[in-house]
Amino acid sequence: MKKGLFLIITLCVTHLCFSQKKYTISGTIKDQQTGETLIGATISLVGNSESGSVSNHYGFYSVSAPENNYTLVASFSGYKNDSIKISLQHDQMLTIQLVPQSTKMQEIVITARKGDNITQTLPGVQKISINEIKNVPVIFGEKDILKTIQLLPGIKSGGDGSAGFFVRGGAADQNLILLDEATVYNASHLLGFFSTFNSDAIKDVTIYKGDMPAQYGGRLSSLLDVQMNDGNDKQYKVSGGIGLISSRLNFEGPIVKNKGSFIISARRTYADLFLKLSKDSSINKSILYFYDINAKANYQFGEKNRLFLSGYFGKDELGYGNQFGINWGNTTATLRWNHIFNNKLFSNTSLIYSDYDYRIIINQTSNNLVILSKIKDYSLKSDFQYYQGIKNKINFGLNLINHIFTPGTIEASETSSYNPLTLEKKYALDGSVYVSDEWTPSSKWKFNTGLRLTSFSILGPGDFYTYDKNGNVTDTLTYSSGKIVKSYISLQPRIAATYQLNQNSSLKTSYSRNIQNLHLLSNSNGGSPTDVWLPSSNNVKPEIADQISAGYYRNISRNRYEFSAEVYYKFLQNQIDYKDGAVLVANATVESQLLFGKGKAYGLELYAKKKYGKLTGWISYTLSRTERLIDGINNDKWYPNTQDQTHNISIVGMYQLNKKWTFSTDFVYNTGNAVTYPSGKYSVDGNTAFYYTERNGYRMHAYNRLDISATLQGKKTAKFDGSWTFSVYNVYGRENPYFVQFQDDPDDPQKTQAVQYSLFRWVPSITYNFKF
Amino acid sequence: MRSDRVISLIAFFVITLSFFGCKKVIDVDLKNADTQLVITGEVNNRPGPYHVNISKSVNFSSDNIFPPVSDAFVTITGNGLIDTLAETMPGDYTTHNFTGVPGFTYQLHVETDGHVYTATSKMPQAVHIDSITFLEGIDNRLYPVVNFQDPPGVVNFYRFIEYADNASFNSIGENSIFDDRLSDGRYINLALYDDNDSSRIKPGIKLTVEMDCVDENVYNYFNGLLQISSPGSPSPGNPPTNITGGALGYFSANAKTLRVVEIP
Repeated sequence: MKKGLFLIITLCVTHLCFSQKKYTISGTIKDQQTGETLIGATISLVGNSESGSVSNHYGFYSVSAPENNYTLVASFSGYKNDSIKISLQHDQMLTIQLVPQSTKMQEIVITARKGDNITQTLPGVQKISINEIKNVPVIFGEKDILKTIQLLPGIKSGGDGSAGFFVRGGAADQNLILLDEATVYNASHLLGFFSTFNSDAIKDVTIYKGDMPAQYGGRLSSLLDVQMNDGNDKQYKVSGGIGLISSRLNFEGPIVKNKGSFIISARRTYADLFLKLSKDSSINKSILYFYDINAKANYQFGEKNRLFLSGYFGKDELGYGNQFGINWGNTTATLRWNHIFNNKLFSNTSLIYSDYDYRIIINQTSNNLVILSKIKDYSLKSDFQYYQGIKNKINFGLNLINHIFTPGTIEASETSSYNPLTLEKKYALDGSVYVSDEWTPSSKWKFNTGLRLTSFSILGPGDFYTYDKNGNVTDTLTYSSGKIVKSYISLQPRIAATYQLNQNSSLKTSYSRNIQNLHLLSNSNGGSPTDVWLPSSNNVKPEIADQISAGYYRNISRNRYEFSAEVYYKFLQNQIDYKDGAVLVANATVESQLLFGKGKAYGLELYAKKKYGKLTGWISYTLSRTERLIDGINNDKWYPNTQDQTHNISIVGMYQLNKKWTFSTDFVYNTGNAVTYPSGKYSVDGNTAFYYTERNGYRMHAYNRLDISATLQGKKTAKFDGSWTFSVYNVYGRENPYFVQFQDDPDDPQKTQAVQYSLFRWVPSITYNFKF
Repeated sequence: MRSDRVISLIAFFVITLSFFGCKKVIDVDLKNADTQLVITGEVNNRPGPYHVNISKSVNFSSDNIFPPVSDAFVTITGNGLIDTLAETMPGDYTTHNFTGVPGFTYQLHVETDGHVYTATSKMPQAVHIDSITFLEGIDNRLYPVVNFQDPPGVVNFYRFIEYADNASFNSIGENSIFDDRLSDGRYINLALYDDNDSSRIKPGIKLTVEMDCVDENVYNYFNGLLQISSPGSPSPGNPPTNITGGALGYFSANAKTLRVVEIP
């Protein structure tokens, strides 16, 4: 007996003496030439497939492994791999610098690695590299993130001239668009022709089609996360482009070499200068321009702290002489503090300001009028990442947003036909906490479970109304400042699982719930800059979306080709639509104009991509359906959403012929939008009027378009790099439908006809790009 | 200021400025709905007779010949009077001797083909046009501007119709309806934008502008009618009618004023 006990104790002690201690290596991974941190780079240890890390939004990584000597491999798309011998006998910090790959022409052998499409947990995620955005031909020759993501499966465009994009059947306001963590309320300039992102200043773009990490929330259908460059911290650089319609300039450089840097980018159109040349007075008095500025500075204080200050300011203006004008724009400002507690705990705390406003100005005879509407956010966000060990990474944090809405203010002079009016401001407090865990129990399984808890309250001061079925006010309650009128508490679980079938393929499945407390009231077709943001209230409930998805992912020929197939089903509650003739502008009782119901969307997304070689590109195909059922519309029957495009195909190809010439092309095809067409006609006071039966019962003609572009590399020295890009949008000039109007035939008043209006046929453009 | 006015102005810009855009007639294969009955009628404060028109709808592909409905039994009641209308032309029923009075409610009653349709409308108090002036707008066209005082403290709804040399325009244009939701008690200068035939506004032509003070239901009807004729209206639907029983159309008791000007 004593001998047995002694044996057990000896074994235990021996085990303890020889049991493997784990150590952590952490640090930041950067571009060796510019000092830019790299987001989503993979750091792994050769021979230890379980240990590994993907760098976060600030380039921070943390890898833990048993005590041993290893070769650490760091890799990132567009850069040469780096192999470093390390001796993991104690915790250590290491800054890794990767050298950019000069050319993509050679075939490169890349092994499957953590963080790519096969292994990362969440389905429905797409990353786009800046190089891809730079090469895809887009209207007016402008590189455009929003236009490029519309070439991916599951993401639909509203068509020419439409500002919004639609993800998995969701509405245009259901996309959370973040620029360096600040919410961008209106992400397009001039009704959708340009986006508010200047791609010269952008480092990383990721789109989550509904299954977003628990760190984010507040919109139902997607998260478009855009990170700006920090600025070259080694030398000053200027780059830009001069085009037919717009120009841009980018200036970046070190504040203190290797410690801090700044970047400023600006852009302006000058389409209105060409308009002034026209003889037609309806054109030469027209005003049409936008400009935007992105600015950012950062500084490293010691090894553990880094401070960032960034801002965006953009404005659009449309007008006619001084008779009429609309202007609108976003402003954002963010102060961020990265703090590395230790090699396992990273945090970022941000203070964010974001606003969006528009003004309508009318100046006619003695009539003058300025209508203003605005939404303003003050926000505190704190995120922690705890790299607990080999198998677990835990994220937790909180986000507090104070929303202030100015729904409508009318300023009018004494002689104006309008009364001055100030609608009451609305105040809301949006607080969320979250926790999530990425758990890798084995090399085959990975789970990502998260929970987000949101409390949304609408506060006084103000009058709050209750309505009857006909929209008449039945009760008015007055609340004082800071008093809670109504609170909604929502729990949003996010669960995803990845099963690695083998090194080259995996299966993923997920369920997530998203809620949305900010609703965009819009009764125009592509979304208008004068749409109104409305918070949830005693009359308007939070929108809820529950989405399940599953997919199969496969890389072929050692990651040269990527393939995926995903299916999803989404059920939406508390969806909003409008009464016929709804009055949304400057209306204190606007909630009486709303109708509510539910929606559903489901589909199949196929995606194939060739990543390396002279010819690269992708094909995406989406087969889907999105419909809604609203009380009071379409006789309470299901009807398709406007953007219910059954088939959606995009083909993108980029071909690098030689060092001088690169060609690219894209082809898109989609089923026409659902529309409401008449089923008869009658006469009212001598005019023909049209009779409608069901809502969205017809389709416009299919949309298809081919674009091509060619880039000619000009002289390239160490100091200067210039290139010309020639492109044609809509090469075969197809008249794609913008809208259809029904009217009496002007040549034969006895007949009626359908007239289809189109926006663009052939649009050529030339841009000169430079860097020095 | 209606949001749809803003939208149509934006749409106007987009279309005018897109030099590369265009329009074309397309073939559409439209389903044919059941025939609908259409009743339009009015009572106003000017001397009668007043008319009620009853017709039917046709398929989109048919000619614009809308079959009148004859032999209907039509009455208008109000202010202590009942008038049974006589069919003076096919589908056109006219009143005998009565004149509408502001402040009173009038009821329309139609019986045809075994169905009964009724409508009620209350005639508002009259508001008078002070003058008509002109405004040069986009593309150098002249637009008439109606100048009048909106009565403070009263909810007013207006409808405007233009006639050139006694022939009515296609009157469904921007600002052909107006309400005082944002303008109560103000002196109004309202420019009437007519999106259609500009050839009618030529110097020397006699322009008649008619202002009808209508009730809320009639205003909502014409607002709905305007929505479905606006370019690119997102979700058109049938205008909300004040006629019960399943007919399309409207019944309007309105107070009219007219002004005639010569276009400079």
